Amino acid sequence: MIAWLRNPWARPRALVVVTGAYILWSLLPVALAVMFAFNAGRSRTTWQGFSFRWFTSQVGVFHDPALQSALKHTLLLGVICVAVATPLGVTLALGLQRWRGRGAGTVNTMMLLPLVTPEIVMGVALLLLFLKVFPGLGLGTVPQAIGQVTFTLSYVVVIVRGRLVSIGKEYEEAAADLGAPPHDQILRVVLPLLAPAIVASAAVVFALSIDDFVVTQYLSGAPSTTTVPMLLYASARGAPTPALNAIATVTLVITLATLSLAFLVYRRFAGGGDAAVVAAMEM
Amino acid sequence: MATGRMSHPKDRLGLTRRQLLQGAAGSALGVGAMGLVAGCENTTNPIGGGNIETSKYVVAKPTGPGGLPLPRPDNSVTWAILPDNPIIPEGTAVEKGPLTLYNYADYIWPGLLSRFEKQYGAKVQIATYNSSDEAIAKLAAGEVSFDVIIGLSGSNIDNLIAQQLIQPLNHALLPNLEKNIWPELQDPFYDRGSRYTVPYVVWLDGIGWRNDMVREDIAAMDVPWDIFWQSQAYTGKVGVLDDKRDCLSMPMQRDAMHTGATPDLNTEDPTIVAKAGRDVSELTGICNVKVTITDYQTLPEGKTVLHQSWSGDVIGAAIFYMPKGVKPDVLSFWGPTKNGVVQNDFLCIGRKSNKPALAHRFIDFLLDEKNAYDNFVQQNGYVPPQNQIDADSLIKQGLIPKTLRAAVTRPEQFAFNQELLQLSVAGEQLWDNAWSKFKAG
Amino acid sequence: MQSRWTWRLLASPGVLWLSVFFLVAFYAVVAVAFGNQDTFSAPVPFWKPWDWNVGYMLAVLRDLWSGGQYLTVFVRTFVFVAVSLALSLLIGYPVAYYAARHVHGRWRGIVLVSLILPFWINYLMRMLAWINLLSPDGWATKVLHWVGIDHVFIWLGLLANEGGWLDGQPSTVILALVYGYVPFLILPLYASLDRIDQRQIEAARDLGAGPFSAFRRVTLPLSVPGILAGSVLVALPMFGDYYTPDLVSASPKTNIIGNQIDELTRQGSEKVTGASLTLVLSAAMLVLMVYYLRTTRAAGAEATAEA
Repeated sequence: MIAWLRNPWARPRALVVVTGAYILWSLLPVALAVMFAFNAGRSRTTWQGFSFRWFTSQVGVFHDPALQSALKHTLLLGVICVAVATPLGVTLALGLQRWRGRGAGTVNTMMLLPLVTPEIVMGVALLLLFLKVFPGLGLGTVPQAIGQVTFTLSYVVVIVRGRLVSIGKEYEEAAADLGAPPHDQILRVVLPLLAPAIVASAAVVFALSIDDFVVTQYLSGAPSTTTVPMLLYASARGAPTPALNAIATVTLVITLATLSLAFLVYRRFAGGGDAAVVAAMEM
Repeated sequence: MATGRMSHPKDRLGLTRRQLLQGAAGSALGVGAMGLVAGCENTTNPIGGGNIETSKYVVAKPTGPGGLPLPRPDNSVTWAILPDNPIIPEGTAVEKGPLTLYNYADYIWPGLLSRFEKQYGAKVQIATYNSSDEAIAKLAAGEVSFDVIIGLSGSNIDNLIAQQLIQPLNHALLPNLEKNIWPELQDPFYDRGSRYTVPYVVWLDGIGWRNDMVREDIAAMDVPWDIFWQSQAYTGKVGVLDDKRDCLSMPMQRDAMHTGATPDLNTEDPTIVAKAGRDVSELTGICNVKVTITDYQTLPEGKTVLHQSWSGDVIGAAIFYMPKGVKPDVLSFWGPTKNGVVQNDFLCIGRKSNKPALAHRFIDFLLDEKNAYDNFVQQNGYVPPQNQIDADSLIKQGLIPKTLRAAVTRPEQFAFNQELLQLSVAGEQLWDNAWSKFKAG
Repeated sequence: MQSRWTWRLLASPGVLWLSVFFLVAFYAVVAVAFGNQDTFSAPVPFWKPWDWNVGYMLAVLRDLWSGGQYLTVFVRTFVFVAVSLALSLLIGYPVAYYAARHVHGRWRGIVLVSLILPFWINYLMRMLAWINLLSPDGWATKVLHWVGIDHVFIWLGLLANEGGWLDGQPSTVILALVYGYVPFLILPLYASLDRIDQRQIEAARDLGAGPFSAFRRVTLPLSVPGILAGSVLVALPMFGDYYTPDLVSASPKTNIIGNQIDELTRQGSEKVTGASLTLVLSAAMLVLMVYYLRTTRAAGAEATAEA
């Protein structure tokens, strides 16, 4: 206590303990869940030895048709979502950032709304949309993809705009001064500079998509449109086997790998990216 | 129009309005043509007219969604086969898999599905629903074309027909139906001629409990249902079924047992339904009641010790879900001998299924005696209405513990008990209101 | 310079998408809430405002006014969210403070990653982990029993019996909500605390303020916008949560508004009521949403001006 008073800029012990305890409390349960994915027995609470059976055996992730189908569909939706949301979001971010005059404020608000809407409201709204306005599409993969794009779009816009802000206008103006036509300025100057942010937002969209539950469940149709989060939810209330932990571990690994890759790309090509990352996080 | 299919003279013919109009238009055209040809009247048919207003002279029976009649034991219904939803021809080629099933979770033994796959080379995929309401909503809403739908019952048949969600069955492709199934269920009142459905399993609603954790001898009580309202000692470990009809019928049965009256579990009397809702809501305060259908897992694991149960759940629990070291005879079951709920559910084929021949094959596969037996004893726990299966012998063999003797359902029980059946639109809303009030806590 | 139409053109696919799949979708909720249902209990939307049927909405409002089931659930939801938020702030603020102001060098990266990590782990998987740990034979149950916390909770009336964590206890639901959402609170707090200029604190210390006083009078007030933004960011999704109570407790006693909406809209004969409740919930959230949007727009405008 006294030492702390003497040197007020030294690290206060209490906060260290609190933070350490928090990190442990936050991550340990997940680590344990991952551990039990390798349990030799059926229990998810008693350790019965190490084994890969929940991954490789007949009832495991790599062979059980229901788990496989859910995994495939989850990844499919993730890819579709990235493919659609990223270009849509980048163009929207570019357009919004430079939009002058009337409408800019409204569009900006509209873009931010999905970020602050509770998921169940979006789920109900989209369900009714696809039942009443677009009944021809039914429920299933296409509506699920559309729903996911709708709420991930805003994340792309926010991340890309953050980067646009830190890039500034100088490069474009320089290119314009050198006689480059507008579309060239965008394609050859701005977009390459934006590349790290685009990659980062693609990774974010992918992660959000494969972890999404509410919207995906509301818009699901045939059994082939079940995703891993839906499976987790449905089975969690029963007496599932560690195969559930196994499939959750697989999706965890995929998400973390994607994000790490994106982060490394961003770090390497963006330089001084910390501020933009922080800005992105505080959306 | 009568098309020569079997129908009982006492039946209502179950004509749809469309058919009536088509028939009327057809005969009008026919008579008109004849008159034109003949040039003058030449008939021995009596003159029409003199029709009485039927609505004045007959007490109207309640109708359900779309105005369809509500099937009741004293009001059986034959569902018409419509031209735009015909029976598939007998020679239809069997399609390739995968076959999609729509079913409750854990309601069919996975081994059976692998057996089907080995035998016929078609994979089987399952989607699950948590309650029959959810299933109907999902089927009605989407373009989803499930091939075989398992687990719905006479309380849903009107919705299925009215919203055109199922297709008629070709009995030539289902030889096991006549061969194996209880005669009582081959021609049920809710679907005369089994045109659209065949029975899956039967059960009765009762109480399942852990006799090693619950002190009271529930079966010996005057009114065993009372135990729920006296279960403070087991707070947090008591459950009721997550189905508005099954759950709300419980206080109705309880009241009737107290007064000795015969309850109507398909009532639309607002006072009775509201009281049932209030009674069940009391349980939230008494024992913090859970609302689940996973009693087949929570009872063996001791997470619940007292649960309103479907009889098959408890048998299934004893057979399949007991944790290591826990004997199945810690489970007990009681069901009322009369005025309770005894019911069967059925299998049907989705209307938009593009694998109807394969679906028929799967249904016939399920109706096979060995398959039904294996489904029963390997996991499912619900008695299939098979002539050859004698559940009592299973008790003798020790496959089913003696404490669960009351859970075995017999054909005679249908006579003394009731089925939960479809209500009119206003009736369904009544029950829905009471249910959502209870669920609001 | 490009004409301003270039930019509007560029933005138009995104605008179109959001208009259709967000605005129109939301209008579908409005049209159903002021619509009716057919004999199959399928909702029938009334698209034209002059056709609107206020019957179902009025029934919901009447129920709220007279203290009926929906009011009970709404009040319970507010209580859960408020308590969860308070606990989250209690836990999250010190952690964010430490991470923002006291961690330097390579530790910073590690701590940051540990704080961001839960953000990307599937929410359901995190809840699943707790269900395992809190089951009667789970490790958390054993630890809590050994430390004696469950006795404290029983004494406080927050737990019914030993090991009964998953038996429909509001306290478990609140703890699950805290666990689920506190990472979402820490990041905005961190960002806001990170931005506070060290020199202002130094100035306060130079002027004679003690460490607590400096915190109370300089850091804390400067971090208030971050606290508010973070709280709104966490409260909004919490209000719409229904899967958390469903997973850790199956009891009607802990059902919150998300559960009611989910139950009503996905099955049964009260889908129009479900849509009406959704509108009421959105209206209640509007205050929070507007606040958040205005502060972000201000920050966005600031950033654009600086660019």
